[in-house]
Amino acid sequence: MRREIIDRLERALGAAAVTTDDTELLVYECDALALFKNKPDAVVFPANTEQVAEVVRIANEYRIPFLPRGSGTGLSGGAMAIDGGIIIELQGMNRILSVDVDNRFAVVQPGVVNIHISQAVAPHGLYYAPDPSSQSACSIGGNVAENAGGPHCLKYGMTTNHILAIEAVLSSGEVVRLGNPAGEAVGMDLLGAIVGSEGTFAIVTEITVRLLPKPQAVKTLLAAYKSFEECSQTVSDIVAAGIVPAALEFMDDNTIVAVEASVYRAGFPLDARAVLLIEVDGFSDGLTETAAEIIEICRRNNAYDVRVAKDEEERARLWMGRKGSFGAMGRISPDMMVMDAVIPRTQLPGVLAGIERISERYRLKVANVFHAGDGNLHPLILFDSRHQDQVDKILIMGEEIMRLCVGVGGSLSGEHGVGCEKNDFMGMVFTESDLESMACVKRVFNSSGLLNPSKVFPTGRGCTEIGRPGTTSTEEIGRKVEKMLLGQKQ
Amino acid sequence: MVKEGTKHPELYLDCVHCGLCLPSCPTYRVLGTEMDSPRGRIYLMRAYDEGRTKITESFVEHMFRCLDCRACETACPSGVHFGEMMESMRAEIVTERSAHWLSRLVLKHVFPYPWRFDLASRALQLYRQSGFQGFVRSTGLLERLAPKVAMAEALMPEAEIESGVALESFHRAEGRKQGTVAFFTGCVMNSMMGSINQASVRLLTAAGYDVVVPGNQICCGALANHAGLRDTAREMAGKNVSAFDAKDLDAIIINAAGCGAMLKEYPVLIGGAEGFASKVQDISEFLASTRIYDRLRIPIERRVGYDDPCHLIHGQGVKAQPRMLLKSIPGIQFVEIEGADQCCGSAGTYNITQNELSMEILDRKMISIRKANIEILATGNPGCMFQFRYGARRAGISLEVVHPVELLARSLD
Repeated sequence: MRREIIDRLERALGAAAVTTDDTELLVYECDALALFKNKPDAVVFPANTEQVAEVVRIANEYRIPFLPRGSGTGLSGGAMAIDGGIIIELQGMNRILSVDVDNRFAVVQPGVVNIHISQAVAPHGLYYAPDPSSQSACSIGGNVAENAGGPHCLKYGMTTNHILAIEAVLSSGEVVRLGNPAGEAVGMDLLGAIVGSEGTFAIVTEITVRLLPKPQAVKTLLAAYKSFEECSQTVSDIVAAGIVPAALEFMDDNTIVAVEASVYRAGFPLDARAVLLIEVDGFSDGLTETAAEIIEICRRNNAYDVRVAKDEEERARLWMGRKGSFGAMGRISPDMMVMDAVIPRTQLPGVLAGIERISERYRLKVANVFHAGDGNLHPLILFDSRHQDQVDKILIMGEEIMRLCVGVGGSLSGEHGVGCEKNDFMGMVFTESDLESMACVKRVFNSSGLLNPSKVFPTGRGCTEIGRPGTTSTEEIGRKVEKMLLGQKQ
Repeated sequence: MVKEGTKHPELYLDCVHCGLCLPSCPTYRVLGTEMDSPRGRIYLMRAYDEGRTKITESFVEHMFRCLDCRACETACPSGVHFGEMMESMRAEIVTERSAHWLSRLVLKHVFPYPWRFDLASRALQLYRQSGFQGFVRSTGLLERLAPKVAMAEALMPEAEIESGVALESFHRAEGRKQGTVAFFTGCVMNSMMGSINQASVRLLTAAGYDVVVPGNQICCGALANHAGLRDTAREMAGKNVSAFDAKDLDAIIINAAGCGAMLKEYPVLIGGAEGFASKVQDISEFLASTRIYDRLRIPIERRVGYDDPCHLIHGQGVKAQPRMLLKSIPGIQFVEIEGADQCCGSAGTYNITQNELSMEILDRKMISIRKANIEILATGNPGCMFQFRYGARRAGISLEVVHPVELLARSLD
């Protein structure tokens, strides 16, 4: 990056808040999707909204791409500087600005860690509901960008249902305030457009989140099965019975092995093919009956073991195990690729069997751990990035799994976003005119296109090109893999 | 034997880059920068190993900015052996660029030799008692000439240095004998905090154990190892393993958390240390399973807090035992301190080599100490004790800082 630009940034933020050091830039070349990387030209650490706006204005002046970053726990490359430029790291803006207990909202900065909000308001009997598995580390700003989900979104809704107002810097450097802490704002839902725009519409610099009173009572159940089918049928039956669980999570045998080998071991049965982690909450009255009804449904579907967490400690342990499961994959594999797709619940058995077939064909293990209640799948493909053939394979496997899900009426992403991971798959679900309409909306917020470019919309190059010179399309990789598989057969 | 450097990829491959370690890291909490997080440091180590970066000025800075507190190991779902990786990386750095002169002087040439360490402690004592300290502090000369030395000087224990309390080589069990343990005296504990060692031995004999104190043991080598002086650490490990006859002992007892974690990890440094390492136990870990509870009869009616030394809770996984023991003292009001499992910023020589950051971490710690409103703070590591005493002075809090065994011994009938 030109010295002149660095000087401008340093004057605006102070020299300590700007880095262009090669070693330091290296750690910012990817988020939690480590497969795809590209080094930014600079990383800046603003302390307030005005500094963010100033960086954006400088970037505009020199026509440099820029993008926001929080904790870097995203799984679709949303915080990766695919075209280089400036990463605006918002970790320094991590204060809870105010809590309104009576009106049940909190105003926070984007760098605040998700769980810190719930911890801060716990003394008032309140909490922030959306709970991504990475909630102990992910930032609320990132949650807003990706419209993050989590196990308890089955009953309580996604991030977008819990954001009341924001302050944001648009791609021009203009600062806007949208929404209203009192509830629904009149006029068009512009706030709704920004939540889930994956950091391509605006950089959110202040967030007003909804707080909920903690449920009076909670019951957490663990049901173990010898087959995927029985496990999946239970999910459909619970929903069909008119029960709305707070969470309904599925974990298969590969996942259980990894979690039980980690510090988050929770006593998941190692002889199960799959388990369901089911939680119901609400008023104490009637909760025991609901739990009993669920147990009955589990048993009817041949669950060989059903147990209820006996206290808060056991409940916490089960959830720690579930939420640590992505990270725990390191116990059984050097790398993993987290997939994210949504399918109609009734299609679970067929799709899981299909994923298994794909896994066998490519000879790469897949672990399944996901939000079964809303059909939000997370196949985790286990591989070793030191072997280029495996890297090639997972890209194609990922595409096949996506086609499988879309083919049964599903969608590309439940909560992790499209980013630069699945932007080239957008054509599977959207027509060209769909995409053009979306692009029109994007241009309203991000007219210069400098804010987080090459994300969400198909570019024809995806992330796959990055760091792998010579490869131009997924088709080409497909051909390579095909040749490889043919070779294996002979 | 483990090779130098990070040329053993199985360690960094455990990391899947999920980021769950970030909030557990004291430096990340203060700085908010990825390169000062466990995930970022692992990323750099891997990049170095794969030839994507060299050992640059900033590479070294970020590696040595790590406190080596291992809180990330407790948070990591993937079971990454971060400490082992970091120490091995530092060893690699030190072979390329020599260590800080102060580290080299003290860790290589003083700590490994009991007599030199003893001499140094006596010199410190003389310095304090002669009034020369008061003179030096009043001139402010040291701050100007050698700020790091001045910092070390300020962190010096306020209390009398209890030097050279040589423990006898054998102490008989009281009452019916339960077994035999060996006692690892440690260098700082023995030369500067001798009464803690005496209290430890008293508790062990009261619990019914014969205690042997092998004479030719030396410093455990942890500080040298953290600083990347791995050869020095190896030599020291070898001497200690041969000083103890592990197979005839029920346990080898250590009362300094940093040393305990090191002793338990000797097999990573040298071959043939498994028998020794498997016997090592922190004194709280050991006492908790003995009959010592029956002997704690003298009440201590004070508000007491406990702060986890990193190398006890994260390094050795010992959390419940010291709390259990302290709570069993009659009359005690035990207070749980918010964030007790987070580093105090002492981290061996860190408070001297990375003073500014260490002080920021300490200041945050003192806020929760103030909130807990305690009269006595117990913590089982000499470095942490010095740091807390300094922190209390700095924050203007009246606080007695003790080792848990000192309280337990006060309660012995």
